[in-house]
Amino acid sequence: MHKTILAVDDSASIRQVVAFTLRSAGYDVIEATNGREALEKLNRPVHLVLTDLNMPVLDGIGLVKGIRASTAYKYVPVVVLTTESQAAKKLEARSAGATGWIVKPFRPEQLLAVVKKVLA
Amino acid sequence: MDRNLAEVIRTSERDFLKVGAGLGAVLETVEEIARQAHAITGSASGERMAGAADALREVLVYAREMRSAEVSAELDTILSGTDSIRRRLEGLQGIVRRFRVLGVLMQIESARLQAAGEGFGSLAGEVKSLGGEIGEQSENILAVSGRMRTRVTRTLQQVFAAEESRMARLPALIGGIDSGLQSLREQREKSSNASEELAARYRNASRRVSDLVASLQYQDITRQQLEHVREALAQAADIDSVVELERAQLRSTAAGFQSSVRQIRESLSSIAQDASTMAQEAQDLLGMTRKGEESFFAEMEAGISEVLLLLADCSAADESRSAGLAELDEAVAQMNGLAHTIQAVTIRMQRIALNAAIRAIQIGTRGDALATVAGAIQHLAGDTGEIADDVSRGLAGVVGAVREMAARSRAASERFTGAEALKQSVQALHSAQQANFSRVEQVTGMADRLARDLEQACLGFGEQRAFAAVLENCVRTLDHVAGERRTGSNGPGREDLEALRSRYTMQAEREVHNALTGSEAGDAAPAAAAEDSEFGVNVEMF
Repeated sequence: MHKTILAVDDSASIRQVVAFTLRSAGYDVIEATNGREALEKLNRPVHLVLTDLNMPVLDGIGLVKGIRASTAYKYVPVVVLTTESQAAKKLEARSAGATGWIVKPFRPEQLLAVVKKVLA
Repeated sequence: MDRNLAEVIRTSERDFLKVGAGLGAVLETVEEIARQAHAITGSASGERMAGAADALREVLVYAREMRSAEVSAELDTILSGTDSIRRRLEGLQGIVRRFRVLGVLMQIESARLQAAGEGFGSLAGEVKSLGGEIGEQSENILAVSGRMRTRVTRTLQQVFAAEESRMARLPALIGGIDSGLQSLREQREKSSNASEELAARYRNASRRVSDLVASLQYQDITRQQLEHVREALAQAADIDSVVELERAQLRSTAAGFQSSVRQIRESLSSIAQDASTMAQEAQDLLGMTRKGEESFFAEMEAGISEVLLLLADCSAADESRSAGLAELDEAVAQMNGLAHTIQAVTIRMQRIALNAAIRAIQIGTRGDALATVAGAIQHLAGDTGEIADDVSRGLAGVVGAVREMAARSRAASERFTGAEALKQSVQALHSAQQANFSRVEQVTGMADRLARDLEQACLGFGEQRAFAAVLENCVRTLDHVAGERRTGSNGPGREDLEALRSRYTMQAEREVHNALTGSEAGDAAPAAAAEDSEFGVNVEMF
């Protein structure tokens, strides 16, 4: 059975390359443009969330906190995919409950290696 | 300036999305070309053909070795065996005559002894009768052995006639096969090189797709950098204080963006080139043109047909030999039976002689002559027994040779079956090769279409000159503002610098800022290098 990954980013071009990378490797991908939309889409089985940080409506940190506060998806791994490089932001994401941190631009093999490790 | 920046961000996103939308089809086409090429390598010709041709060659070499040498040896064994039996049996003729004489002598003595010699008459009669039987059986063995000899001689003639015929055709057949093998070796070498090159080309194309994925992210990175510039310019209390910094940020952003545009164009061209080269390398895997391939297989199949004809000759010769072998077998069995009969008669003869010797002793001195005759009969019976044993031994040697020949005949018919199977293999390979030509045509079509599509994509993407022009205009505008500012103010204050630095999310932005202001990293320290270096320095697992 294919694993499902939720890709959250307000940039269409980022969602596009993330979805292409994951689908080429056999994963099912659901997309959302912000944290709020992502939480709404968590009404179906999701094995991993990849999220940007800086998004309108609800940002990445808010999304991580929302997931960790939920009952059904409390333990779903969340990897942050961001242009952000400040240590403070990384610490904030980690404290909120994020599983990993990838700084853009990433190569597809990096993303897939992280996904594979997290889903193992 | 702000409106222009917003517009180019929007149009560049459209262009980047268009390239990104085609990635799936590009990767799928490249993978399909590689799969088809792999199928060509797997199905073919090289190893299997070489295997088939080598096996053919074995058949021919086998035929050339001509079992005729062994066959001749076996036939010679049979002939010499039968000759030896004949010579021994000829010795038996003299013995049979002496039995007759001894029988007569015994009869004479019996008559002379009158009453005392009673019974010896019948013994004498038995001796004559048994002697006659030995003679008769011996004649029968000689007759059978004579027929066997004739049969063997005829078989030998057949063997040598077939050999001559084979020897006349073999050189041309082997020459043709050698030539075919040479072509196959060359083809295998080319296929092996082409296969490696194709694999490398596929890896290169895949790497270029990964490059595209990385480069396409710069649209979003650039968008964010430009948004930070717009925000800085819009929110600065005093624009003069930030203009130099934002001009530097714009230049840095423009350079990064142009670099990603170049990378995208290069990747698209490279993938198109790789696809075309892969199509050519797929052609090289076949190692020959369609015309050459048809001619090659026609020659191979003609050669195999010749081999089959040759083996048919061998088989026909073997069949008649088999019939002859059955006859030989039967003859040997018959002779063995006759030899055993002689042995049985000999035993009876010895009993008679013993009986006569005992009775002769009982008679006394008057029976001395009878005792001598009995002794002579016993002696002759012993000689007869030895001859019969020699004949049996000789026949055992003949049986061995007959069985060897029978085994060789069975092996020959297996070879024939093997050659038929090879013919079918070659035909199957021919079909596989034809299928491969279709694959190559398909692959060439796919590569051509991909190259055209990528060329279009590259043209459509362009060099993003509009984007570059807008950024350049913005920089010039800020240059102008900065120029005017230099004549006036004292530069941005510390509070302004801190406010600017805090809005930067990217390391590149902070580096530009620090380079221009000479400030240190401070609180907005970059994230430490990733602990999980297995994924790269931009990745960290918590």
